[in-house]
Amino acid sequence: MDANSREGRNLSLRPTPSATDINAPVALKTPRTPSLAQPPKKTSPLVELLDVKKYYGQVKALDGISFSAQEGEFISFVGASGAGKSTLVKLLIREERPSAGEIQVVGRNIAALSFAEVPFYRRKLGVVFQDFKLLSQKTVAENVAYALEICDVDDAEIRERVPKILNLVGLARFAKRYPHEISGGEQQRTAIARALVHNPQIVIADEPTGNLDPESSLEVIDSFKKINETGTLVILASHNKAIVDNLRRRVILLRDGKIISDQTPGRYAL
Amino acid sequence: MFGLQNFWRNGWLSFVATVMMTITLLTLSTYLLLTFLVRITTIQLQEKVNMRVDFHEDVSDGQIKDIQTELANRQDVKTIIYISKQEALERFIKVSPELKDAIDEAKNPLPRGLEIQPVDPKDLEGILAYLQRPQVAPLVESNTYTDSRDAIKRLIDLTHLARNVGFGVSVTFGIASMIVILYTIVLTIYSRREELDIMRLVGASTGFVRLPFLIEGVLYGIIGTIISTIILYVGAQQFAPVLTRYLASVIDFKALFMQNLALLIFVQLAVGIFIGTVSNWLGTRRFLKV
Repeated sequence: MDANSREGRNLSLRPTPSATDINAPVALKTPRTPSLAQPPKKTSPLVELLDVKKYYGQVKALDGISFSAQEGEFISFVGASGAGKSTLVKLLIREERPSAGEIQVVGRNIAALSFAEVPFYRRKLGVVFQDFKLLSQKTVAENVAYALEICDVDDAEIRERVPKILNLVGLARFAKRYPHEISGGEQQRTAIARALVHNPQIVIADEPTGNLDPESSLEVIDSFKKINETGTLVILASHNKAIVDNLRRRVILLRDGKIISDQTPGRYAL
Repeated sequence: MFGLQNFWRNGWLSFVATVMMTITLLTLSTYLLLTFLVRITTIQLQEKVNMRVDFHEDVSDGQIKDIQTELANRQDVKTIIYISKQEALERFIKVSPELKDAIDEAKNPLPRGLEIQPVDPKDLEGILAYLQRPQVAPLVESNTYTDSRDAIKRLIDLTHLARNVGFGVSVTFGIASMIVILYTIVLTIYSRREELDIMRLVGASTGFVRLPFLIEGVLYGIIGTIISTIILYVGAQQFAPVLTRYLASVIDFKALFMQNLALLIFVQLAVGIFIGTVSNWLGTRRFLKV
């Protein structure tokens, strides 16, 4: 395990080491890009997919996807069920490997990561799932703290950062509740807090509003906007037209595993 | 810390796994105790098996002494005692006091002899062969082994059978219990496989995911040992008098239990922790895929 963690620290996916420092204080309010009005700087892309294909037997879930994403972007992947959104997310978080093509995240092909390297890669991401994926045996605060514990953050630091992030997502009073004791929207905000507490450079959300009522959905999307304002790349997979249209950011439309359109600012038009 | 937390928060599953662990350890200890019991009983029975050789009147003390020395040098002879005419008489009177007056002490008719205690009852055959050699055979009036040979042989066979069966049964039960506890723990992990997936998906390393499960395994072992030892202790207190009576005071069961208590606890802890951690290790390995 020691060897792994050493290896993991070297696996730095962020260009600036100070920003990757897990011990750095939560600084969600400090934007990394000066202003939203300015388009993101054209540096080497954070995420780059090159002709990525994913087949499940005869089914072509993704059929030659290529795109790149920069720091500070907010990209929405839209499309009907089965268009390939969830598959794309699974590939990005390395839950699955592509059948062909390359997925570069900060210059590293993540398909080539070994089983032992994968956790260290995932710690650079913040992932929000449609079904929340909270640990049912842990309280709200413990679920959020877990993301720090796996990174070996010391207890004092955890005690300081968890309440801050819970405050930010408006869950401070639910800290000691278990997931089944709070609403779906609150559970999703817990998951968002967990995805953000370690200051990831990339946040990936797969249908985060899929199980939520419209009001909760707006709150969740608001949280993502706030994260994005700090310069974090947000990749959102959604089939919620109203939400995507309201964002007025880059929209990539998928159909049958292929990119149909890629527009900034885009709209969800099938 | 997480191990302990999981243990409490997974109440029902932890309970089932702990009960299975307790039953396993209880079975193991019971068979261990029975094995001790059989072993001690056979040892004590074997110690009662010996051979008495009596010599003719005309054999000189020197000749007996020579035979005694030769026998004492044999590897298969544990002890050898010379029994004089006087000693033989005393023993005879002790066994049959009513015949005391019938014997004239001056004309003691009882023969001199040697009492041979073999290392193992089986060795009596070899000792008998020595006594039947042409140089020795004419001096010997009688030996007790020839008379009770069949009975002793049957006793030896029986004790071996008891020991082997006891061993076979404990090994069989041990393996069966291990399989049951392994499956119980793997099932409890199966019901929590989603939890394992989530931990991996948020970036926990395999070791970090597994450690709490391994600690849980250790806890199953420790708690199982405690409960099983309490049950054994209470059981020993209750059944000791019955068992001791049944064993015709050959063995004090309570004493046997108390003497071996530390060993029993140690064996249970070792086996319990081993099964607990190995099962959890195998279980988590089976379900850690993402």
